[in-house]
Amino acid sequence: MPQAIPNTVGPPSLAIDMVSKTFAGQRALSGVSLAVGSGEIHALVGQNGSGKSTLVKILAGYHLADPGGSIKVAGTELDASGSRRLRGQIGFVHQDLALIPTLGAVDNIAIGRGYVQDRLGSISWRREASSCRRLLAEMGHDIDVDRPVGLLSPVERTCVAIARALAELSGDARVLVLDEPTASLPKAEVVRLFAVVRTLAANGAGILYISHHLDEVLDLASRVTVLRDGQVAHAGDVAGLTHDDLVRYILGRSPAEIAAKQQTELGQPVLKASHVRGGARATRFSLTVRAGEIVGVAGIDGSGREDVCPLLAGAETPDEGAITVAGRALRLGAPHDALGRGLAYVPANRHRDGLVMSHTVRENITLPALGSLVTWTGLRLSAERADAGRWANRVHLSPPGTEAPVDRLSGGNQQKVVLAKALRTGPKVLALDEPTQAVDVGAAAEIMQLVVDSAAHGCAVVLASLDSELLATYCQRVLVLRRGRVATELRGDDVTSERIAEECLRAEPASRGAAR
Amino acid sequence: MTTPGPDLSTPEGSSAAMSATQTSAGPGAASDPDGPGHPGTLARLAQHVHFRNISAIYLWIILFAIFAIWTPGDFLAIGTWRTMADQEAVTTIVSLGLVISLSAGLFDLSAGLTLGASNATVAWAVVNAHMGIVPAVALGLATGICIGLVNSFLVIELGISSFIATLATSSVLTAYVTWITANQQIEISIPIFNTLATYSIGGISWTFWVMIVVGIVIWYVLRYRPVGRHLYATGGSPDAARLAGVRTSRVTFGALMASSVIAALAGAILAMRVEIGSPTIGPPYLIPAFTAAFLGSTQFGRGRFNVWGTVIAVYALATGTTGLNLVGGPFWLPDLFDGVALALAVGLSASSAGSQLRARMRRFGRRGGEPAQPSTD
Repeated sequence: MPQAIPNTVGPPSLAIDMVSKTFAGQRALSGVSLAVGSGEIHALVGQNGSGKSTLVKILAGYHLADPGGSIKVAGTELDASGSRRLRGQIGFVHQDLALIPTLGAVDNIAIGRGYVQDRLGSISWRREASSCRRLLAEMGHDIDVDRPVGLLSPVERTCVAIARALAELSGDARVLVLDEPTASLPKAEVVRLFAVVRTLAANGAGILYISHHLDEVLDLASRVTVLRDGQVAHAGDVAGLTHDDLVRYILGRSPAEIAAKQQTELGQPVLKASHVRGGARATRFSLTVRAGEIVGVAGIDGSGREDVCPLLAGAETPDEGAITVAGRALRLGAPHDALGRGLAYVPANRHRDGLVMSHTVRENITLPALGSLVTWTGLRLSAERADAGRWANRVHLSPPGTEAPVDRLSGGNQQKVVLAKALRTGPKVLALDEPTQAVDVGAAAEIMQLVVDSAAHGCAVVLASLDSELLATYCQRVLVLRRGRVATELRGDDVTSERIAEECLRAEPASRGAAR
Repeated sequence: MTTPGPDLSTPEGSSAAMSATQTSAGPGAASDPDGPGHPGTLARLAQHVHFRNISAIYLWIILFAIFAIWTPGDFLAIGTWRTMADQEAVTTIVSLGLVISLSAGLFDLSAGLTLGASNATVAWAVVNAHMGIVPAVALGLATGICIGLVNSFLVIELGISSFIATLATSSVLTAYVTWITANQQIEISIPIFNTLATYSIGGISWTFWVMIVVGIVIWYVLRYRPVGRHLYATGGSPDAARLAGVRTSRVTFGALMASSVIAALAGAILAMRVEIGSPTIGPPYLIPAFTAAFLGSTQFGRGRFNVWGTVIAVYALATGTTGLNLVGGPFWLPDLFDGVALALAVGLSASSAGSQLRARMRRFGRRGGEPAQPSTD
């Protein structure tokens, strides 16, 4: 792992001093101070609800801070509690990038800032294009600036979003806030994005980097500020910190000792998938999972890892193969049949596949199994409410209300709803695709605890994830996929995060490069 | 026209203010009234009767008050209300059919001509084929079934967007209606039809009671049957619904069939009620029916297409147009009124209802009715 570049930290580009924010009597932030020097990559971490997003929204000028604090960019005070907009002083890149996919980089950048016009008012395309190319070249990327950004690689798109943020800055000081920029990036691309971020910092930008991925923080940032309950729980250099240290600062306690992989005896085989082939990469795999067992599926993006759970659950239709749950064959490509036979699925894309975002928590939780709530007069709405409430408690939804639309919930809570929805069907098999993706540390631990509990009660679990740490922590066995095939299976003492990562990245003999 | 102006121009009027209310819902979620806490009965009542929640009822009350003062003699006459209940019943029935298809995320643009086709078929069957009323009405409903089957085939099997598929069906139906009526009005002069044309129950035309029964059935199904949830879930997110075990193809099929059969029922009722079959009778029902369904969806706070919101919307708008007629407004005024009322009512319901509707409209723009294969990215 490359070490964080030891930066010569200049005068603070961004200085936040004693900023507080109160919502309806509740302190969301109290007296937070933070300074980002020119050329510094400063990480901001914390659980959902720690005040992280409130701080970002204050910087973005979306919320007004309580009177008393100050925010300075390059020594100039910004009136955070008054009316002056912070826009133009700090550049933002949000995780969804907010680019228009059908337009090229030139248009995407110019739309925010306004087009360069000549005296007659027509757009000077040549100057637009060259300024755009200059910005992108600074990040070490030579991108066709007229190509629709939807056709660019994820990292190139992120570069365009960064270039747009830079182009919107009016002052000389470059302060960038990168909010979960890697959330939708494959691992291989993350490394390339890091190179971009380091280049920007080396050129003097002050960068506030927000991420749930503590590995990224340790790898990339030179300093870190940890928020907990609206206060700075820790601030300091990254050098010398370990992953566990960070988790401890974030949670305010030692990471709960995760019960060593349960050595409970495994039951009968519940899930059998034989010679399944399908998905965009024509992935092939066979798989048997016993009751109580948690089997990991590892692999880089494009390895076929992402096809396994959708094929099992019928979200994608296998071209061939057979899947049985407790001895009974599933109709391939029929999610209702999989669910009816006891295979519940937690999809990787919870916004698109996991939840009906405009519906309430209750309606989402009960949707897959309404049958138990129906009498001859129809749905018993009070019983439904009670049932949903029980599940909201069981998965530690906070707040535990069931009548709010899920699109108002935080990411962690949304994922808990997805899990509640799956568990409520009383599954014999759980197919989990990235269950802790873009979820804060605390919620991730709670989610995995629920998974471990269901396994202990005899559920067979398939856990597909990019996160080798997660797999190493929870799985008894891990299948590693490469180039659409199960390349190897790790068992026992081989199930370590290092071994998994190593196997994922091992070059196939005579392969033409691992990742696409 | 002083009608809707002053009362509809609440502070949320401008679109800028609207998006602000909408986005600020996020961080405020902790103190959200939807939360688990039990707000006082009064507070909850205040929520329920808030303008945003039931704007159409307020619109109705305001219109009623205006015309009751303006032209009390005509407007408050019981006959005016009987006529209105009767005339709007057919529109409402079509609109209720649309509530079903729209809930599943489908546009049935063929509803107007389905009504027309059924109407023409019934008239043709009685007059030209000398059938009795029962087989004639059955034939009219069968027309609706056929149209529903064609729409479903186009949308589910061929994967055409419902918007386009039903537009195509509409054009074909125009041809059918013109052909079967020989492009002329077919007048039905048969005793039983004469009786039905004026038959009323409790002083109100029987068509109104049919509408109420259809409304109760659809309301019950949408609210108390799992299939109602399946409809809304399919409309809300077809991918998520499918993965939650909802058989979205079946739901789509059922929704398209229901909306066609109900429009056909409306067409048959119209034949009995006005004693004619006409090639031009259907299309004018389409826009008012959609207007009412959309206006109805902004009522009761959830942003969902629903039965009673739609019924109220139809009659609130009808009160306006009836009143305008009574005070001798120009003949183009009612259409103008309908359009302006829809835009204002949907725009001003700046709660999640309005934003959900807007979100749904964006989705309609993007995809076809049927999520045949989830895209893999």
